[in-house]
Amino acid sequence: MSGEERPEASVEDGSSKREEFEAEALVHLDVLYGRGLRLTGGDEARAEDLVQETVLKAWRAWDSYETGTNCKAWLLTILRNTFINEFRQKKSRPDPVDYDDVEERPVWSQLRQEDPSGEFFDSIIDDEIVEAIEELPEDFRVTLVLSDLDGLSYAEISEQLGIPEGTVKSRLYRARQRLQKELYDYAKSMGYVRGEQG
Amino acid sequence: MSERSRLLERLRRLLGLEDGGEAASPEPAAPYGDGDLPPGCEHVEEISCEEAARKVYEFLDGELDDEDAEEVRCHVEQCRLCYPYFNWEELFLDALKERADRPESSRELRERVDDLLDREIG
Repeated sequence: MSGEERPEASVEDGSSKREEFEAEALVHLDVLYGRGLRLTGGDEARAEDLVQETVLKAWRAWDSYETGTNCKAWLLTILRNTFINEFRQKKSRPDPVDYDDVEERPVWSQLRQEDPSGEFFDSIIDDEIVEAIEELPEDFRVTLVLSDLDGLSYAEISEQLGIPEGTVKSRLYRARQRLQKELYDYAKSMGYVRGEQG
Repeated sequence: MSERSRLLERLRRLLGLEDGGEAASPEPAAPYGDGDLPPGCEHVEEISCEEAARKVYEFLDGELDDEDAEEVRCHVEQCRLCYPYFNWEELFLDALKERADRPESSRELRERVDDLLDREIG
C-alpha cells in the first residue's frame, strides 16, 4: 500500500516544515506588522497585505533560508523589498511636497533655554512618536523608515528608491525636522514644555 | 523605560522631587574650547557653526568622509553653541530608533496568515 504511505509522508514533511517556520519565522509576525504599519503610514489593510505577502514569499523560499542565521532581518528584508517594489511601481512621479511650510528654524532653537539636555524626548510617549512618523508625507516617511528603522545608508536608500543621494539627504532632513516640530507641538499642548513666545 | 516609569519620572520632576530639585538639567558643555584644541585637531580646517549645523545629520548618520567628519568633530567639541545642539539631535535620533520600531499585534492577521499557510500546503 505504498500509494497511501506517500501522501502521509509528505504531510509529515509539510507539518515539520511548518512547525519550524512557526518557531523561527512566525514569532516575528508582530515585528513585521509594526514595520508594515510604519511604512504604510498606519494603513492597517495595506500593512496586513504586505505582511501576508512577506510570509508567503518567506514560506516558499524557506528551503533557502539557513537555519540559525538572523531570521528577523531576513524577513524584514523581504518585507522591505516587497513594499519598495509596489511603491516604485505606483509611483511614476514623486509626491507634490510643499517645501514652503518647512520651518527654517529648528525646534532646538526654541527649546534651547528650557530643555538644553533633551529631557523633552523622555516626556513624549511612544504612541506619539509612532503617530508622528505615520503621518509624515509618504516620500518623507519611507525615506525616514529606511534610514532610521531599517538602518540603510544614504547610498542604499538612493538605490532602493531610485532617487539621487542628494534627495535622500534633503528628504531625511525635512522628515526629521517635521517630526521634531510635531513632537514639540504635542509636548507644548500637553504642557510638558512651555514653549517660547514668538 | 516603560510608559509607567516615564510618567512617574515626569511627575517627580514636576514636583521637584528629583535630586537637587532642579527643573531641567544643565546644558551639556563642550569638552574643549577657549584655545584648548580637541586631540588631533591641530591641522584640521576650521568650519563655521552654520556649516557644522548643515552637516549635523550626515555626521550623526556616519555619512561624511573622514576629512569632513574630522572638521565637524573638531568644531563641535570646542563650540559652546554646537555641542549641546549636536547632543540634542543625537538624543532625538536615538529616541526615534529605539522607540519607533514598535511591534504591533493583530489577531485577524494571525488568523489570515494561518489560513494562507493552510491553503499553500494544501
